[in-house]
Amino acid sequence: MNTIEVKDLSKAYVDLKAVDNVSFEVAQGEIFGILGPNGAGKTTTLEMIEGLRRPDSGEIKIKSISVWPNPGATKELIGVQLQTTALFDYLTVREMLALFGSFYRRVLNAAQIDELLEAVSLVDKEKARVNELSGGQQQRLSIALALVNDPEVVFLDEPTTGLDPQARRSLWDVIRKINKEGKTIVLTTHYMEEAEVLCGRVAIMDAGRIIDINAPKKLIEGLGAEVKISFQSSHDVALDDLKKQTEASETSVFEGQYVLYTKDVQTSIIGLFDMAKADNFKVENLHISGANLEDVFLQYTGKGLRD
Amino acid sequence: MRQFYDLLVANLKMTVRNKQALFWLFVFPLILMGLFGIVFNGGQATPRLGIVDRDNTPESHKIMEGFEKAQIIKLYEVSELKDAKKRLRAGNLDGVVVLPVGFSKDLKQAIAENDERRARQMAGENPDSVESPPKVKVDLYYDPSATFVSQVVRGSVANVLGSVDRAVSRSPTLLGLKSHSVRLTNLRYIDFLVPGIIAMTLMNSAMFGLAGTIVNYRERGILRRLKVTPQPLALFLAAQITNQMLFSILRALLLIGAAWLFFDVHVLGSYFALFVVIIIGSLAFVTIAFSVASFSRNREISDTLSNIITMPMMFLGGVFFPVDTAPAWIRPLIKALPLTYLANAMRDVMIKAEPLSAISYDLWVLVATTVVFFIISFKLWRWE
Ligand SMILES: Nc1ncnc2c1ncn2[C@@H]1O[C@H](COP(=O)(O)OP(=O)(O)OP(=O)(O)O)[C@@H](O)[C@H]1O
Ligand SMILES: [Mg+2]
Repeated sequence: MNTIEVKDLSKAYVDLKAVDNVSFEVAQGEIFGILGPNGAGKTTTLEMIEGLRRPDSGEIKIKSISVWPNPGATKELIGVQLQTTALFDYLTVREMLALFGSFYRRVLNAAQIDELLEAVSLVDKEKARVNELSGGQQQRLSIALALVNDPEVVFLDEPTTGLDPQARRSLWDVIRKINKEGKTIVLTTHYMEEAEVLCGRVAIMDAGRIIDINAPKKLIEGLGAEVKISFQSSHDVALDDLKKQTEASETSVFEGQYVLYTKDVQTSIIGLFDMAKADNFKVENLHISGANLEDVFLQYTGKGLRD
Repeated sequence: MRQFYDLLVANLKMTVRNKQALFWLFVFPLILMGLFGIVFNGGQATPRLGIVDRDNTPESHKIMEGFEKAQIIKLYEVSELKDAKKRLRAGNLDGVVVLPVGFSKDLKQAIAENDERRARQMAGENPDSVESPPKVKVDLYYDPSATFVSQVVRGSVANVLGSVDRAVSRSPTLLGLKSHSVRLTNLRYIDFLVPGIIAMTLMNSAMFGLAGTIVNYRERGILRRLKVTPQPLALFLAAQITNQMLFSILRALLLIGAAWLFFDVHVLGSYFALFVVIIIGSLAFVTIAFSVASFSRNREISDTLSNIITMPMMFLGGVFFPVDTAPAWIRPLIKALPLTYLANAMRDVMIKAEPLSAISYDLWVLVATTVVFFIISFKLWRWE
């Protein structure tokens, strides 16, 4: 039995179909990601599952309990971090956790607050006022607040947006730790790297629709497992020539950055340098990489994750 | 209960730690009271009343004695009405009472008619068919622009004449004329002002504090964040309201304490009645504040709306000057303002020592206001 079941979910704002007939399941203990650009409908989808926004149609079940029309039934089961951090000023980190803890049937004692502080690395900030925290610290506090009721499912809406790479990585550790304790996690993100690293499965969403759902690896393999070679050149290079010489399946150039996709790295590299020698240009900044979710997204939608 | 307690404690902490809120809650009302108290309390505390006895009979002399005994006012005997009016215009007198020629005759007639009326009543006649006695005319001149002093003058004259009236209807003797007024004995502007200021701050803290906070919580998504917890919103709001009331009571006590310390103002009524008035008044303005918060999309709108609502009440609701001296055309507006009733009730309890039963009308108006705005805020409520 799946922890979350979403079936034929739709919601429109006036004439904009924000979420368009979306279905997916999330298994117990999974980290499930929803990846998509701004306005894809990620938040709307999540908030319908959380019981914040009423769907126009469709069905949502958490642990076999229908969320709608009575979202109260599932509130004790879930922990929520909203996209915009919403914290009271003038309360300290510890007071904030205690207050939110008091909202639930489960009694949150001091030792459990210590554990939460530990989990999100805010132990030394427990006495700090909420408005004195940095963005990343507020983000971590929001995640801790989503855990005060020891929920079965945790929803994180863009937990790492706006954080520096280091803070992002430390948050990933936090999320993994929570997941190891057996909690099912649903998160949204713009970052394909985040989805690849964290999520067991990813739903790719664009313009209200889910385009594909699979493990990040499978999604990438689905592209045909091509390798991406990118470089810059001292002179302009003719794309047709380049494609012929390197036996690439596809070549492109954008702001001086040449990109080619190939199934045979060796042939392509030799071809590239032969051509450089013959045409007398210099290859700079050479990168060879496997395709990633960004490429998957590009392929599906014809546009980047962040416009 | 635990949840309510936790919420209330969190709210109290937030209020106490918010320096700006504390200023508006406590310091500002104190400053306002202090300023008005100092500016308008200087000079004559006892109004000066000129009296012109044109009748000059034993009866009119007794009236004069009655005024002398009243003590609330300083009495000046003036022989000519023209003179007295001149002194009134020059500001040397605050009011002039004239006992007209024929006063004693009128009075005697009134007494006789009254006796007859009572005799007929006792004989079992329907009182409705009995004519009421003609009023004995006494003229009072005063300057209505000197609102406060003239208020006292009118009050004391009415009071003295009232006792004459009582004497007339109960016994034919006019002896024993005496001011029964407790309230007017010590009534100064500051006594009038303190209950008004308490009422006004009750309004302002709800309209700016509470409405602003709720709109702020909504704008920042805190209400939505609460909505995903099992905590009922009603409990959250109840804690907010309780917080509001506790601070209102605290502020009232602080203002009363400061007024006592600096201006020697005494609360004559019961503190229990005062407590009841504060609670009922708070509820009325809390529900108005909720309606504003529900209606307003953002903080700018709610603050503007609060200003539009509170401004007229501040000046017309009887905070700084008595409403019954306002021109007639504006009276209906004054009667429509909830603050008028709150200030009135507050004043009646604090300086007139009225029991709750005497202000039940004001309290019912406030309760009705609460009910109406509760429904409005409920209908308009929005989470985001
Ligand atoms: N309350 C609302 N009223 C009207 N339109 C809305 C509302 N909320 C969202 N939308 C629209 O619905 C679409 C989906 O919004 P949603 O917030 O779900 O996107 P998202 O994938 O979470 O985007 P982001 O990555 O920017 O957070 C957007 O076009 C947005 O403008
Ligand atoms: Mg979003």
